[in-house]
Amino acid sequence: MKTSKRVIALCLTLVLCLALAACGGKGDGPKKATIGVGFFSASGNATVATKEFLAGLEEKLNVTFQYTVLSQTDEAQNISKVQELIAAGCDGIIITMDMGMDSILAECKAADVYVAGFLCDFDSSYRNNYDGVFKHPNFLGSVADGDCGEDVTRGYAFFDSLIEYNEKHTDAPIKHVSMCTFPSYAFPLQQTYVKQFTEKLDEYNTANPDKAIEYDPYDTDTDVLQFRAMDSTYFSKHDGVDAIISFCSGTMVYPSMVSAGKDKTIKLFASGYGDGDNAVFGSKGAFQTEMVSGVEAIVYPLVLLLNKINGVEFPDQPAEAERHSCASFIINSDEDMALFEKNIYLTAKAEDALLSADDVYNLTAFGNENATYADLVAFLSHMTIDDLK
Amino acid sequence: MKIVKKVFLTLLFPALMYLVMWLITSSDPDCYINGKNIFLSTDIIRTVLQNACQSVCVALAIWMQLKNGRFDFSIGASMILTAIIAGHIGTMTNSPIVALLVAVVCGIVLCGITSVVYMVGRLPIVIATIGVTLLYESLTYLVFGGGGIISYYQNSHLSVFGHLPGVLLPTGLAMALFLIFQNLTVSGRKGKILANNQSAGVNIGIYEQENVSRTYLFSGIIVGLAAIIYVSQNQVMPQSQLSTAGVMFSYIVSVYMGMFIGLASNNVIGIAIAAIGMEILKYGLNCMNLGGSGWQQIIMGVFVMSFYALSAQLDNIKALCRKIFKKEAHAKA
Repeated sequence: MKTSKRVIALCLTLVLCLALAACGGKGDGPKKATIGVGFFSASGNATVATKEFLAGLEEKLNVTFQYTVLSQTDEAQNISKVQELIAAGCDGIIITMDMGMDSILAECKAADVYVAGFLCDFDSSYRNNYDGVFKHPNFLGSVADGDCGEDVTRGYAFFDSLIEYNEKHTDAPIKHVSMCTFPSYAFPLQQTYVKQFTEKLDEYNTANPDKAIEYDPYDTDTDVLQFRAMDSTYFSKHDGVDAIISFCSGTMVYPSMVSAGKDKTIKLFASGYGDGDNAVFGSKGAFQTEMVSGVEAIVYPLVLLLNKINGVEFPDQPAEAERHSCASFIINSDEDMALFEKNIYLTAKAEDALLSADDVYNLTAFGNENATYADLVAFLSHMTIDDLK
Repeated sequence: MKIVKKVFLTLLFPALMYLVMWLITSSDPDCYINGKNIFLSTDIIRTVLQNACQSVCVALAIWMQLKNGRFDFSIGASMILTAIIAGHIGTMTNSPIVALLVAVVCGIVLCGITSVVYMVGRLPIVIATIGVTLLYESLTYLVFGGGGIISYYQNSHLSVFGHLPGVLLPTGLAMALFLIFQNLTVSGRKGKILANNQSAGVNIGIYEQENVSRTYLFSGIIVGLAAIIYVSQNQVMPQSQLSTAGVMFSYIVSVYMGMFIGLASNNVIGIAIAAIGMEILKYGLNCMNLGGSGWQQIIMGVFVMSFYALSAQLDNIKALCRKIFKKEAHAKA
């Protein structure tokens, strides 16, 4: 009898100790979490810099990261990659592709894992499956690579960059341009960029007939790059152009210019940044404009996931998941490039990011009781070249 | 007279291809810019030659082993790994010459390892080379941070061996080496015997291992030359799951077509002519805006299949022609 009383007393003491320890632990910091990140590429500046940025957050946010690479075309492969991340013990997953979302969310719901998007506007889901994705309890939202939804302005930005170039180079202005895009089924917004750009150019040419800039009409047969390098006949088809406005990645255009010996005579205004572009930018070469989304934008999905994992949310948290545009570093000059070269995107050092680990911690609802969703979204518009100064 | 006939038959394929594509593009309004058919522009010479040089080098590397009775799956992986290493070292030293030398050395080392695995392991060539391919592919994720090499081909100074006239140097070297090995070395001649009947060759005293080593040495140099052109024309990403075999197979068309075209002259010339002919076809399709679509694959596939079928049935076709002409002669008599 005495022994059983002692055992019961010991058990009660142990339970009490564990309860006290658990209560004490609540105030020590965020829960240990594992976040899976599915990139669009295994290599390149953006991937390397994002990994470095996230590595710099691990200690402060008590989080570890698992990485994988998703396919741009293979839905089954993406589902399989998400399954692998779940099996690896991820509590939340950040993905860069909008494919197979129904299956991915079903898998995540079954495993009680949350999903958020990075550098992806989830346009297909937004248009065709809003309820299935954006109202799904396990989908938390996404930040786009540049513009999304009604906020599209990149076509205007390209026009502004072109005019800025001509104002700086009055001795040899650009008088004739052509355009190129990726296929509309994958990047429908690029058609809007074309429309915006040509509208502005028409207005400009009407108002300034002496400075008119001719443009080759956008042709879906010749000006759409099927995710492969531009073929050399493009230059014959657009004979005499001074510049190419590449609404798609410049890495698909510039090597073809080099190969065709056009890199000295044609200027390039492009989206995205390719490894080594800074060596041929501005006064050093063909690139005159590059528009890049900062890797720091990953804080949007990351903070939303960590809040969920820690069982907290912002006071102004929207009822449904949202997608947001992300400001771009618009690099128009050597000075802009010099600033960009000091950003984590090129240095791959966490200390060169726009946000420190403490800044990110303060954006979370568990790290800062005054943090709001509005603050988190507002940060996405503070990733411009001016913010690097 | 014989030489004229040989030259005529050798050049017939690209000449016919050019003529056919000229006729097709002439009837396509998409090919006319400012009233001129862009297929007839001088750009075709540069594009076709640059692309054909890449095909020739890879095709020669494949053909060298194939001609000696071995189908080597690791050539693509050796080329990709060599390209990454040479590209990075070339970028670090800012010297395309250093990149070229590193590529050749690297090609020799990697092909040497393949030959050792094949000989020491006593494995069938397919098993040995697939194993080596998987090893080399995994290394592409490890060397120089595992990021492949992206910026090399964007640099016009470094990528000199990917463009005219620089591209002609590694291609010319590869062709010369192949000819020397095949026609002027004992190993090349012994290789022919071993390819035709391995056991008979060994029985008459040919030491096969020595022959394999020498073949792989030459093959390694050609792989290195192919790699320097590849890294000068493409961004090279890390590879996995035998995807390098896909890279290799994308150049194999020139090998089989070259074997047939080469009947009129020489295999090496046949491969070069086949590569030029196929590049003319590709250029014409690009002019018609069919380059980036699935149509290019369909047209190329049908063409290549028809070419192989016709060349395989050549003897039957000849016999049929003879029969017809004989009947006509009898009828006239």
